[in-house]
Amino acid sequence: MKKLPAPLHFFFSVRLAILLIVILISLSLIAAFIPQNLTLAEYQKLYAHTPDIIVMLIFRLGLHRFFRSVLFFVPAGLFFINLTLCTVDRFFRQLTSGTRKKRFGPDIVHLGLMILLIGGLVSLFTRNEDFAWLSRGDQVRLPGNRIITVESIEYLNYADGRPMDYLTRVRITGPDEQPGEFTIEVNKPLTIGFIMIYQNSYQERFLIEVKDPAGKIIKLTNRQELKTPEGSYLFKALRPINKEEPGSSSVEYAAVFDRISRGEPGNSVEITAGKSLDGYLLQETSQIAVTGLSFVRDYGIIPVWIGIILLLSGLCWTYIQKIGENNNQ
Amino acid sequence: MIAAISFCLLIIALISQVILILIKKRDPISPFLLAFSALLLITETVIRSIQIGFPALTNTFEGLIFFSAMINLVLFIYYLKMKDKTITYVLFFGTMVSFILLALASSPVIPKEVKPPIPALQSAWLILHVTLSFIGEAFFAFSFAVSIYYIVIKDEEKKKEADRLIYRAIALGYPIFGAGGLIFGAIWAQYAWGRFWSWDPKETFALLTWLVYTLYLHLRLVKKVKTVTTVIVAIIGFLFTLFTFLGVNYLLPGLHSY
Repeated sequence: MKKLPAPLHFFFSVRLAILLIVILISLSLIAAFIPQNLTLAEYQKLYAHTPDIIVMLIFRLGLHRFFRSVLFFVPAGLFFINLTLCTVDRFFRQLTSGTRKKRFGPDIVHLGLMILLIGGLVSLFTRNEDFAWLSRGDQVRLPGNRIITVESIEYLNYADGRPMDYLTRVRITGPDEQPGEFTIEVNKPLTIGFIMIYQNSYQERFLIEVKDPAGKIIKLTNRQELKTPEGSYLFKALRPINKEEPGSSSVEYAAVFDRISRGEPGNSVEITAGKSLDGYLLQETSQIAVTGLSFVRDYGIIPVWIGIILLLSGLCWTYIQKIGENNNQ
Repeated sequence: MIAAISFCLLIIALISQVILILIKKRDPISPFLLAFSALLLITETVIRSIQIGFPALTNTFEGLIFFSAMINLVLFIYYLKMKDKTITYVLFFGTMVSFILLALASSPVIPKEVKPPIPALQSAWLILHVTLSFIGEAFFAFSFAVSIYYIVIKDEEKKKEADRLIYRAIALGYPIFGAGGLIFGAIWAQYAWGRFWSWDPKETFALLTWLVYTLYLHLRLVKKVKTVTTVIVAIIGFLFTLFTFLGVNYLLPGLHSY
């Protein structure tokens, strides 16, 4: 290969790789000790004991969002260019050299790493995530006119009360397919095309039904507001008011509200079923299971998987070849 | 109880190593104590796994005893391969690392209850991720022990031999840690949380650890780099390894904190 001018040749060199690795380690180390993605007020509170310039520097340099900042992308981008050039150079030098001992394992590792980085970039720009709290019977519409209906939610726990598993059973219907029933668990997401649905969270929520003076039924869960002509009330919780064990069907509950005055919670108010609050009649109280599902679409998954397979293959090839050479010596 | 016996074996191994270093004799005892200690720690892991119905690698205590077991095993394998040429100093420094990890495991700040895992930890990828991470890190621990030996000795021939040992240990540990710590960890994260990489402190430090060892391997390709530079990088790499395993849990909590 014709010798390139020194500045260009530097981009093909291992020395540049070493320099960029040192830069990436140093900057990432600083950023790793700074909590990421907080607001200015949160950083000011966190670093209240330090000079103001510290927080200013964190923001100016992008250290608060380091892994999406210029400070990270520039050395990472240069690293990618250097890696690509070195890989191509090394590969063609081996191919054209007369030596019998050719080691393509490291080239496959490097290629895998390059594709992995491309996958990461694709993911950065195309990844979409939504979250929904759903109770039994709730539905979500997906692209392609598919509808997911939550059929049941199950919480399994160990004897000591710690969570063992959360299961959400769903039914999927669509215009062009047979309805199907699936179970979504932690570590076992459901895949529909490019969308993956994850079992993210689980909650037990209180639910009350209130009838307004016009006869309309209003359903409220925890932290939802009830607005009456005389004021606003934040529904907080259900409090058991008889001696039966909570969760038993014979327990009676009082609905606990915080009166909201000038935007802030004020005095507490409690009413039981059959009683009214400003003319709004509490009809029913219950506890319901609510599942938190994440819906993720990420086109970067494919190149990332390709990169991973190549990386693992390259590592295996390198070491099998190395062991073979050692055995032959 | 089993971990306590293993701890005592390490104390005996350390004492025998110190005596043999001082009287400049070969060490025929401590490698077998290390092997027996490893066996006991692995037995403890198996017993806990049977009790919870899942591989017992889901909390700090279980991680510490498994890591200690792997270091002991690597030291024993080193002795088996090298026989008469085994460097007692290397066994001593390696045993010291294992001893400190077990001492930490026995401290009151580390909970030792046998508890089955929460849903996020119930994954085959966790088993691959954690076991391969610790196996790779055991080789890093060995390279650390040899690096300390390198710094301590003055004989140039012995330094060359130490340098070759450091390289071979890192060359073995690097792909295992890379595959286990990073790749299988990322795959598990994708199945558990919906993204391969979140830049949480544990992931960031695991990547930094891998980058330090990548730096080591590439520095060795540059002829003008002095050996002592690569040895220092190997030491820094192991310090990163320890911080990734322990420091992050207590100083920088994130998604990985269980």
